[in-house]
Amino acid sequence: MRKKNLSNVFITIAGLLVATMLTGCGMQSIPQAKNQTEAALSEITNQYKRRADLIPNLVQVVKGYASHEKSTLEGVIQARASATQITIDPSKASPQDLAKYQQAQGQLSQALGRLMMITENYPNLKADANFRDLQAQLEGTENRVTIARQRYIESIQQFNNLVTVPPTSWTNSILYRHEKMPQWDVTAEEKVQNEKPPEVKL
Amino acid sequence: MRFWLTSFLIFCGLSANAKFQVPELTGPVVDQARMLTAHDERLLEDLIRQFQNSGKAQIQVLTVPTLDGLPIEQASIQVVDQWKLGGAKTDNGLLIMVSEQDRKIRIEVGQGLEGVIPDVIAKRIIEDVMVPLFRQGSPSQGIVIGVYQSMKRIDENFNAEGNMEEATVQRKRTSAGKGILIFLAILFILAFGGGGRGRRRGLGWGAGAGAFGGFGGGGGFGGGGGWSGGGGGFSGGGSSGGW
Repeated sequence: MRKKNLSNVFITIAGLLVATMLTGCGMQSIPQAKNQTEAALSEITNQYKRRADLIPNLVQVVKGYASHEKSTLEGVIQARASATQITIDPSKASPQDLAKYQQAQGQLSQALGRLMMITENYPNLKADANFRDLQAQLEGTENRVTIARQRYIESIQQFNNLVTVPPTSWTNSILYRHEKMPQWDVTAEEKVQNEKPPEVKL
Repeated sequence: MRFWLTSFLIFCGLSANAKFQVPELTGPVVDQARMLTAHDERLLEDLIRQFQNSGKAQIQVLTVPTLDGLPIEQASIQVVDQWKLGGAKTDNGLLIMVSEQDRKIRIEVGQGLEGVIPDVIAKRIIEDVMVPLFRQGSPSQGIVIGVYQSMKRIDENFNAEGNMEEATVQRKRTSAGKGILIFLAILFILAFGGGGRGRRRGLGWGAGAGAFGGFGGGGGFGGGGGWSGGGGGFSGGGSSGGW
């Protein structure tokens, strides 16, 4: 009887020990890190959506002062249309989906960049209160996108560290079997810009 | 071998120096570039503490001499990520940051304040209110008015002008007893600080001011208490400008 009690105690202690070891070894931190990457990715999509929402007003205001810059304005509208068509689900986006998404957003960034460039030539437009407000909002959104991307990159790094570096990687290979996540590739967005160099009009 | 080692160390030192580093959070006003007049600095400290005590927001002023080539948006997010201004649940932090050599201003708005100070408003505070004063060569005034305008936005009823006067009056009243205070503080330090030099340094500014406030009995205005972030989150809201 006494012996049985003792072995019970022993088993409990051993069980507790294993549990604490596992918590220290990524049983909690791996899923947490995974959730973190998903949250960080939704923040990016959230901010890109915010940017897309600003564009119709922006185009409208610019049109008022620079209606003959038709090609640039249409470029923005088209890029916005194709960018808003591609949406991703942060919890199950494949690397290919992500790449497509990034490319579309990159194209929109480029079109927007061109639009903002031509606004430099219209002092009246730049003085317009509406335009100034929209510009401030757009700048703010671009900044938020940058920060959201940084945080996403950091969260992926953290997740990848957990699933590849021991001892947490052992827990991963036993319990979760997560693969290392591909890092957010900023070059996909920059590639768009490199492929089509901005036209120089003399 | 020694040559390589030294050059390696020098290189490391250089690259470490060339990076923007987040300063230590020593109080509501961290004026590293010394752009504020002594009067304005005290005024702002009092005002910001008072505003903080009202629970509306934690406002912070930071001036730096240079950003070491970093865009101010990147520098300011590093600062707020480290300082975590504002409450953890309310996210009501706000940073007004100025870089002297880069001639750049940024208002970084905590997530909880983005509703009352959207980017557009932050931009207007910078461009319409602060920049003109910076261009006129009175950055100190520019910063004060920036803080004042932000407070007005967060709390319409906050009577900053009245509070400014009150703060200065309070200052004058307490300054009469300052000699005794300093004497007492020195005594205090001599009595208790002898063996705990390291600890004293660790406690830093907040503890020192706390001791003063305690002696003076002045509470809110006289300095009172430490100053640290409460875990507030930022996601890049706000605006930037230059003069």
